[in-house]
Amino acid sequence: MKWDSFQFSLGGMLGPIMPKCQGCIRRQELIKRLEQQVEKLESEVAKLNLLLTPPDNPSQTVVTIDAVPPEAGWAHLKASVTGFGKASLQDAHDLTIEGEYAVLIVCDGAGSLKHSKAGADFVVKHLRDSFLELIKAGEAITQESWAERARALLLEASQALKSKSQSDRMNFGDFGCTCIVVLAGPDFVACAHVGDGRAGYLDASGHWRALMTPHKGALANSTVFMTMLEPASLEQLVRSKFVPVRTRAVVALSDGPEDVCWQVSTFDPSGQKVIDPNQPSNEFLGKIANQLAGATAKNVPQEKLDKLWQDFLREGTPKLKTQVDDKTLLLALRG
Amino acid sequence: MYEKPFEAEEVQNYSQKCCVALVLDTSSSMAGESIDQLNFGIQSFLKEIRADTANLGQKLELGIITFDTAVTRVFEPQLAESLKFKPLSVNGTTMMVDGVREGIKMVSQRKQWYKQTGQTYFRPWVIMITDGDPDSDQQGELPKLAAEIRQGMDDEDFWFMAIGVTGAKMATLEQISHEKMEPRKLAGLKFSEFFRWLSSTIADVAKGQNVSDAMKKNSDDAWDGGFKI
Repeated sequence: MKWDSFQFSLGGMLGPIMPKCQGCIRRQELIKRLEQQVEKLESEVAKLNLLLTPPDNPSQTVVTIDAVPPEAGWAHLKASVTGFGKASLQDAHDLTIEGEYAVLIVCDGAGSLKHSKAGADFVVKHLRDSFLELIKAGEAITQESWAERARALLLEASQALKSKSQSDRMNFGDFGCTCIVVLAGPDFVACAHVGDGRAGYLDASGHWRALMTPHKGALANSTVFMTMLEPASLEQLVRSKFVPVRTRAVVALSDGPEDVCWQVSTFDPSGQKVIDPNQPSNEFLGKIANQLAGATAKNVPQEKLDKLWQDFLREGTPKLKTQVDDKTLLLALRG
Repeated sequence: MYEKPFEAEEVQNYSQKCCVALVLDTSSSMAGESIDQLNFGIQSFLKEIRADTANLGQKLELGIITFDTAVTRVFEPQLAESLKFKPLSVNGTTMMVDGVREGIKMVSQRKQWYKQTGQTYFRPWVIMITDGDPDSDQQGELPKLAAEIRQGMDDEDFWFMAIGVTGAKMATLEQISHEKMEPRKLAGLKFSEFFRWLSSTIADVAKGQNVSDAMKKNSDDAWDGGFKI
């Protein structure tokens, strides 16, 4: 029996029981000292765990997103801004609305390559034209056809870039950039990509879901580029996803702002490993989507919205302020 | 006019790691002001990292190796914000080659650990600071060490940077360094200025900037003695 419970069990009848035996007193003091030491050690361990254990990825709560009037079509935000301290932008983007369809394209030029911005600009423009043509042609986009169609269009863009670099007598490899295409239609959302960055959509339950798994090496910032596409490597390098649902919102971003709006790195205690949960943040994206819905209801002009969005990407949070990578984030919300 | 800025709280993520192995000469010639300034410089370095607003203390893992008559791993790589630094003391000769090899081994082991635990990382750094020349029985190993460093730099396994303090044989540092990162001479005993530059440079690298841009961006006038062969 523990000394405390012995005291407690008799204390009610006899008052506090004090041990008379000197050995008992010494043992009691020893136990107290040991308990204090254990408590101190536990507190130290807790402090260390706090340092070593990364933040959890708790199951997320749904953020209800306000309705956008149907006549507004797709409300959207789009911007690319240079990373902190960088002289020039190497990201490029396009967000085009065509009736029921929204096409989001993000390209991130490789920092170390001298013509990567030109590569990113070229790929964005080429793919925007290709996907618009596809939509306008009324071609059915289905689960069966998407992967092959998207791979063909991305390869075509890469080959067109190659031809241009050759005719300009430049090294094709210097035009390296990543690429993400998100296409949201009346009853589906689809994604194809080469390289890193993130893309996602809002599901019917109100949770944001990832649409792609980025190509990432063990070394930070290592990935694959559009200039690496060859017919033989196409299946391996172009990843695609097709979800047959009507979504209310889609998002696509370069890797610059991913750390801010996406759970990309967390500790898995079961495997004792750091993992990439690739989980868009309901809180972050929901909040932004709601502010977009609010601004749309007030008929804020698109240029103004994009300017405010640019300001946010530049320094809207502490991490965005100091991020040296370029930051592109596109978000479209269906009315 | 609508002027309401967008706002949202950012997600907390696990930080990518950047490992730096400091390989430090603690031979007898470093006695006195040199070792005092080096110790002070490292302490200031740790303070700056802990104060970094971009959370560098959670990204930078620092390991310290000393070389004199022996090579000692004084601190295994650990988050800089939790490293409890104890001042270094001097002793004996200059086992520089073994010291640098231990630094390369240290960052290589750390990289393996990052891979095993699924962590992404930036290319690690091995930074050697000396005021001398290797012991005579190590001189024969210099060409081999130079080849190992060349290979490691070419394979993008690590960055190697050699810093010479007054008295250092700069030709030796030139021999083992890669042209992508030439040896530098410390002006006087400006260790604090060097470590301030290092902390700013690593902070930029840990935010994703490439190393040559980060090195150019951070002014090194305060400590760089301007060595050139």
